[in-house]
Amino acid sequence: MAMKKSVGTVIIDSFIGFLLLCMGFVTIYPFIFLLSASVSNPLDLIAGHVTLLPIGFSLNSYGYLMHSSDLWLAYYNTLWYTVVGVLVNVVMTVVFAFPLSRKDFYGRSAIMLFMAVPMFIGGSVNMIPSFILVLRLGLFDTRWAIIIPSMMSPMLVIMARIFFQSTIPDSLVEASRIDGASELRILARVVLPLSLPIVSVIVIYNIVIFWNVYTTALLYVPDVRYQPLQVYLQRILIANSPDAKALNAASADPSLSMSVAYQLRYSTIVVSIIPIVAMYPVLQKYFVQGSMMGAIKE
Amino acid sequence: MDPKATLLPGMNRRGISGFFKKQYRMFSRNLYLWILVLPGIAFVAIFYYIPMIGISVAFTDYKIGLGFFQAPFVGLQWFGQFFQSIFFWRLLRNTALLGFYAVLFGFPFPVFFALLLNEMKGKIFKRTIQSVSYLPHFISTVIIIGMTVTFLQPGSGILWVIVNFFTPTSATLLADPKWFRPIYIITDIWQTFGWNSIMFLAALSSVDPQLYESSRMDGANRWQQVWSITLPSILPTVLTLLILRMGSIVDVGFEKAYLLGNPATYETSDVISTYVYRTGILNGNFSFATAVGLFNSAINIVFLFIANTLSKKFNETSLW
Repeated sequence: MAMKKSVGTVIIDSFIGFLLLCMGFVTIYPFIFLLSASVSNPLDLIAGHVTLLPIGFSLNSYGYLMHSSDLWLAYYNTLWYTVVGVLVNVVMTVVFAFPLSRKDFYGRSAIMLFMAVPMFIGGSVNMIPSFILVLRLGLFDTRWAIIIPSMMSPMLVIMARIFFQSTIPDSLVEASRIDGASELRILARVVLPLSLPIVSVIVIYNIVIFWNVYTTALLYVPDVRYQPLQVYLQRILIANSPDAKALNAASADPSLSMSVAYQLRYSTIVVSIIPIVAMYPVLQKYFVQGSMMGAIKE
Repeated sequence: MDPKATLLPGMNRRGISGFFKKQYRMFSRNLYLWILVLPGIAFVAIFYYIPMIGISVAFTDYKIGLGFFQAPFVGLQWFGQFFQSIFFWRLLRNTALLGFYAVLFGFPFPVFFALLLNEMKGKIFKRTIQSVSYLPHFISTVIIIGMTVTFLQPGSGILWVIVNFFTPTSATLLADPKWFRPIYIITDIWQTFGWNSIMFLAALSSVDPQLYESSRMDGANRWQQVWSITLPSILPTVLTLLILRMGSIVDVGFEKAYLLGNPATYETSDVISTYVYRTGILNGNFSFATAVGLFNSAINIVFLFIANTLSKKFNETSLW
């Protein structure tokens, strides 16, 4: 429909566009600033000259970070938790959700209820009982304290179940049964090849969960050798105890040490959000998909 | 064949023993599927149900090394101790106020953002803004607070420079109890407004375009369209989400309050969940801390009921 826009419409449209631009800018600005600050001349940075784009150029702070074995240990731990956590979660979620999606599975509604009830009891009341449980199971202060209590999340089971129900035709499962395939074989050979979208959702959700894992590590893993990146970041950025090894590397040039210590904060943040930002287009796609699947349930 | 359809007749024909036989037959036919669900059931039982049973330590005198039921029963002793403690009112006030302000200031933002996006015609512009607005949702709380701390560094942090421009200050804002709530809520809005708008955008996209078409024929202007078509059609979604938020108003998450707060700001920053952590995990008063957490859950339920009742009364929308 071709309609001539009135002056009023144009003004309103551009005002709305302007407001949205502002909101977008406020959201993205801290990220741009982080990057600019991490590559600026440290003296300009500490003097507060950097506002949007880098002033001067120096990759030195990244160079000093290379020497920080503490950061890379934490980085390695987080990678370990993410890889193992994702694998375990995919297997647990798919294997659990598949029978629950089958109409001919006797007892599925009882199991669904069994799983759904605890979703309504959360918050700080669980902190101590869960802590005691982890202690009694002997998981405390091991890597498994991060993985095992988060092996499966009910929300993703519900999503996977909805997916299987709506995309895998019953007749296909039935036909393979008649051909004599076992349930596990049906799941692996017939259902899984058709389930790439939901497996991706499970993988992506868990990458974000395990990359950002903090509270379980704080509660269950005091041993610094097993601590993930987020705990390291808390020490450096929030508790204000700069990374001694990175600072040591920087102390070759004493005139810069104050400003470099400050700049290290920025480069540390950049280094730790790079994987998330690099994966962002994919993350966003699957998260939006996932949240819509959850919404159908409501 | 649907097992449910034959369940009741089978029971009638063959009585109780026939009923169990039928159950057993159904069960054995799915034996293999039962084996598949077993690990999941075990996981839920161990990591969700056992802690639920473990809440009972709130009524006992639990010492480390004991099983959940090996500790002596003490009744409501810990609750009494908590209600009389000097921290009780401070914790209740801090938790409720923080939750209340977060809803009051935080809830309208995503609705407003979704409405603005809905009025926008250009698809690419719209999509870009949306994508950008979701980004902070994926960043960990530690990094959000780490960034906040870094940007508020006295003298050189970019936010400190801005704040200092308006109200000259030399103190670190993070050590000032007055600033805890504003910082908490502003960063919260920054992190969540985009992501929380998804539900509203979904509701907006399901509005029938013909409604706009016919209202235009009747001479409605844009504002009238927003007021009498757009808003009423997303109202149920808005109210449902608002009830859910109200229900968790005193359920202030541990992570953010713990990371942003510090002893200098406990006057405003110490909430129930951080107190549970300090007394329970750090000081080892497991039973007392669980009682405090249980008290928190109880007020959560009260708030959810109040919100639901109010909503039923005024808007005919409710959760149950």
